[in-house]
Amino acid sequence: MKIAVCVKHVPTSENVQIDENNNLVRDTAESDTNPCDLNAMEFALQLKQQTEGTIDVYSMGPDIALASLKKCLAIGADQTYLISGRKFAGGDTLGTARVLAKAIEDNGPYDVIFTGNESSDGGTGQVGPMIAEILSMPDVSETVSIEAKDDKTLEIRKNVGDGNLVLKVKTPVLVTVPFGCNEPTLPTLRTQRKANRAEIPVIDESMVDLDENLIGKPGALSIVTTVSSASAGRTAEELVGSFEEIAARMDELVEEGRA
Amino acid sequence: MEKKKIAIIGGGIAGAALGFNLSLYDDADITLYEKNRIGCGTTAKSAGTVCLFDDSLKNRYWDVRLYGFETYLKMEKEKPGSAGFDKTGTLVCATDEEVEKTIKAGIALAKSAGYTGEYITDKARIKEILPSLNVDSILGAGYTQDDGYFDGTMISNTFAEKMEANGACIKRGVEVVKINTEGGVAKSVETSEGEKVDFDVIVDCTGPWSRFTGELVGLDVPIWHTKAEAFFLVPPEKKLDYVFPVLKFPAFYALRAGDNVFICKSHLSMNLDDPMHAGQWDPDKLPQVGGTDDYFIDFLFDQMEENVPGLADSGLASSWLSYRAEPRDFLPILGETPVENYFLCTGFGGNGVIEAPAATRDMAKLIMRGESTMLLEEWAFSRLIEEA
Ligand SMILES: Cc1cc2nc3c(=O)[nH]c(=O)nc-3n(C[C@H](O)[C@H](O)[C@H](O)COP(=O)(O)OP(=O)(O)OC[C@H]3O[C@@H](n4cnc5c(N)ncnc54)[C@H](O)[C@@H]3O)c2cc1C
Repeated sequence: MKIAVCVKHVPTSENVQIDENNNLVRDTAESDTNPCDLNAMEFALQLKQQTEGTIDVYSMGPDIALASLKKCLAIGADQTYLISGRKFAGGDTLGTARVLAKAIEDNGPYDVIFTGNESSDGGTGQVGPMIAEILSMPDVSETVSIEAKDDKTLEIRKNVGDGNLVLKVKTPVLVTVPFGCNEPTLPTLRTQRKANRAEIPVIDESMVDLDENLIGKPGALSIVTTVSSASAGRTAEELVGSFEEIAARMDELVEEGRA
Repeated sequence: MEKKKIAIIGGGIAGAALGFNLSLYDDADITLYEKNRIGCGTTAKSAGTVCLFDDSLKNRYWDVRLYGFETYLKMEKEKPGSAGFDKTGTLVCATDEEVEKTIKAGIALAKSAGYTGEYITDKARIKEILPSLNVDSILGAGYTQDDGYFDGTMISNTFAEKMEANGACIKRGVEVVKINTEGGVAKSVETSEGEKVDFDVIVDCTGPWSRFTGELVGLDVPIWHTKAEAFFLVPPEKKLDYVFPVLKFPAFYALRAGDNVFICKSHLSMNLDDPMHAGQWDPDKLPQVGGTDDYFIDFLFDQMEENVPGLADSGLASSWLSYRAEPRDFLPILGETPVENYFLCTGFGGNGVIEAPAATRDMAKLIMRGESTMLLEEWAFSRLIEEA
């Protein structure tokens, strides 16, 4: 099977900077791979093994996203692409989905496309289903396991609250994957070293044939008007003092049902 | 009784140990300023190994090593967990005859102090102790079961607790932003809380921040930052089913961290003139995790493949970067400075956990009684000025 995975490089620090247009300053933020994208990558690896397939990984973002792509190479991706360009910047989820879908379509066709359920910085959960819509394929969310039945059919278990639905799905299909549903493979020193040396192709704006008014800032249908940090509020309390005092206070908090 | 008012800037292992040692003098009135949390700087990212013999601190200073080790052992005995001791033992590998000689001298010193230690040349035995090792690449190994590694943050907090119990004051979350001098004499500090407080003595224990702290009194503190890049490996079999000892090679070391293995390039193999190894950076910009360079992965992979092939294909779970504060000769800077009443207790580089107890014991005596020691004389600021 020919498999594509979309991976986002996200800030991990609480001290993120926001520019005057309420956009995250991604170049300076402490960052790492969006956690559930690694779960998506893990399912891709399982399918690759089952079907002797290949995995291409796409990430749209600035150069620091190369770190995530190198990690994916070290884990077992065959090829990775950085999608990067000024005209892609400042877009909303639809603009992002359009660019990703176009790049995937240009290198496709793919049998399965994986994305994480949502990004830890944006948290909309929209990009995966939008890509499926643009590429006219079905999408399955909340995936908890995946198995290839033959080269055109997958059996996917999907979580529906109290239980799992078992679906037989014809490819091509887009699958979104929640955090924690599997244990992502780790890179090793050996594979990471090899990946660090890899040349990663960049797909820039000249290579993505899309109307400029549909992507980036001009194409955005939604804009972020304000950004505020989620306040820990009155429930947060720093525990200070000796070990005994801290332990006693923790005990009280547990008693009060606050911890 | 007239008390000496002392400010300690920095609550890493150096500041906390100094605070404790000063608090043992009843005429010391101590305030420690820590801009963040106790033991959260370099100390929190440390491996915390305090081994009875290895090459990290020359055998010339073996008493410093022993004093550190025994201080923490007693701390741990007094309250289990308070020094975070993990008694894994240590295996120090002899890669050539020079290293072999150092190890053998270390073993003699350890035995002289009543500890066990042996130099093993039987390769099968070495492999029994550490199955993932390539024994062909070494001449032999020094081994003791008596030591291991400690937790620098736990130790710092234990010292902090003890100094507070002795009446010292700790200002947590308070940064020293200005130091006032009059006619070349340090007089007072100003803090992020807007306070201005007069002191008789001000001591810089800010480790890798010392260049910035020194600038507050117009002092050029000659330390470099060397990159301490630590990687956490998940062994191929996922769980260590044997006691992984602290493993020391001249160029790197490893120790267990739960079921994982922590590896790091050794501080003495860092070259202060190599921009990949050393420079001047801003420790406030260090990320909590990550931030490591490809260079160190290459280096450590080569070392693993040659020396510990059983770990070369371990999973890479996480990594972190920290800066060691290293003077040119890789030894700390202790004692007086050209600015009167302004003292340094910094530059502990890759050995701060080992060195802090003895160094701060002597520093406290110097500050409180004006009496120097051989150690303070060897590690004085003046040695670096003369060199320059
Ligand atoms: C990866 C690694 C492995 C290591 N392994 C070992 C080992 O095995 N054995 C060993 O002995 N040593 C080891 N070391 C070295 C040891 O950890 C350090 O030498 C030691 O922790 C330094 O302690 P410190 O108190 O000098 O500095 P820090 O722990 O950095 O403390 C300085 C403190 O000063 C505070 N500060 C800075 N500026 C201000 C200000 N203006 N106002 C108030 N507060 C301020 C900071 O917040 C910080 O808490 C290792 C270090 C690293 C990084």
